[in-house]
Amino acid sequence: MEENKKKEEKQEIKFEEALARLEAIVAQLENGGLSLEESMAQFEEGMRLNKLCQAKLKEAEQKIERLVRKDDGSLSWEQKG
Amino acid sequence: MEEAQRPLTVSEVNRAVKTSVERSFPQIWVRGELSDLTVHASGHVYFSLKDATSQLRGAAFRYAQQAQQMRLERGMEVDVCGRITVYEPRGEYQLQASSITPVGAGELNRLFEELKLKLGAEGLFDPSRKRPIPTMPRIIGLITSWSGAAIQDFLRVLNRRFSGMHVRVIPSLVQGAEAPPKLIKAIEYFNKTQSCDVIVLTRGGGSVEDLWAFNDEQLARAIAASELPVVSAVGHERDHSISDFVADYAAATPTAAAEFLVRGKAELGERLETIEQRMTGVMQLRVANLHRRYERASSCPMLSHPEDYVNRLSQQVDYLGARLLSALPGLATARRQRLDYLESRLLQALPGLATARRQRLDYVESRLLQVLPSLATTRRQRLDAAAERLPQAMERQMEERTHRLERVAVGMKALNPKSVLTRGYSILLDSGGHAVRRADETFEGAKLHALLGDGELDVAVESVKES
Repeated sequence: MEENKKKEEKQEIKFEEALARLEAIVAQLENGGLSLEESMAQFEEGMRLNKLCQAKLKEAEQKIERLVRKDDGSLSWEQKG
Repeated sequence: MEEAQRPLTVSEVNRAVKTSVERSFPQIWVRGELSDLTVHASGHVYFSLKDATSQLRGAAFRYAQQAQQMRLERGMEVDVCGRITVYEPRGEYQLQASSITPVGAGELNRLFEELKLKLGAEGLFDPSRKRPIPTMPRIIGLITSWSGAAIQDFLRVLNRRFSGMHVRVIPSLVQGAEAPPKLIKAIEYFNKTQSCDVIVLTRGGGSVEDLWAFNDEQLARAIAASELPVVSAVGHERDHSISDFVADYAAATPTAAAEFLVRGKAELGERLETIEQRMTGVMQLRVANLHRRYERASSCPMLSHPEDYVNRLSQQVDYLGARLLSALPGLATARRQRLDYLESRLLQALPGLATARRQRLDYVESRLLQVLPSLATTRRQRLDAAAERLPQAMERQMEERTHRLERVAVGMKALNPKSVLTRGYSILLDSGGHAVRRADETFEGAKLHALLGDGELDVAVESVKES
């Protein structure tokens, strides 16, 4: 579970990074001053990042857990089917 | 009564009793159990009050609304204010009530206000104590009844906004005397294990007694002591509980709590959409600008008909060359005349030196006559060379410009969706000619039109899978 948590944190950071990069790209595109080739490349990267972020927002797996007491008396999270 | 020579009429007795009774009980306060309760369509309320041994009939006029608000029920202990009246036609007396208040509710209300004052004085409700609620909680810790309406409402709204939420539920009693210790334990468990980012304490609507568990002093202290931020969502909009005051955020309903917790995600979704619009907007503008420049450049005559330009220039060279050549003989003649003139003057002025000078002059003259034609030839050659170089330079310049144009055209081609198609992608159009960009924009059995790089296909949708 600890590992799971770390993984989620990593994803979270990745999302924030992607969003920051995305906003930098938009600012750069809007400021102009890039050659056509450069702005095409930036645009393509921006669209890719945007799609990635949207997917991350919406497609994360739903998880509902319930705290249950097991036979040995210990408590644990049980996934709701 | 001694004076009465005749028996009294029934009406006279009832009127006399009425006068006497109403004078004796103008304002009384009675406590008893509601043993009978009828709310008439007229809005009047008829009831009986009883204790262990006795019963009293009563009425409250235009009291239906209040009775409903206070949830008056049979068996309820109530305090009634009013006066005793006599109904003459039947010779019956009754308690005419101006207010009926449940005893328990009054008591609970007093306890609620007392606790609110006490905890408020301790500073438990201070805004400065409120912990911020994370805008994008990764794990929501829900404390509520596993079978109640609240959990259904909460999860439904969460799901509707964003499917991918992680919720951990600690089932708990949410009403009755057993509830507060269970709720407290759940809060403590989440804090001890740090197994969520935010705690949500919730239950659906109910009577004052049903919601009473959330006015527990120990529960309030557990909420205040929680390290994790706590959201309280108890009952309906009009219900207020001590847990609402002490929690870091009070949501009016379980639904509102769910909406509040996904606000960050909702806002991010909107931000991403705005970014996408801005990016495509900038690029469209850019492409439109390039297109305009390309049109302008390609309509310039020098580029559309370069041979005309070169022809015109070489014509000018020919013309200048011809002028030069025609001027040369005239130039020679003028010199010759000048020489003749000088010669005659010389001969006149210096007859003595005639011979030597004459020889010298003859020599100069012959040199001059030799040089003049070759001078003309050299000039002509230089002109010819210049005329030859000019078209070459023009051609080079033309080549360079064409090259630049081609580079622009290649850049523009990359923006053209058709050029993407040649890389193996295709565009799907629906029957209206609109591009299908997402699976949910079409349906099973739909006839679509696919554009490929080098042709078109009519296709049918076999199944739709949204991802």
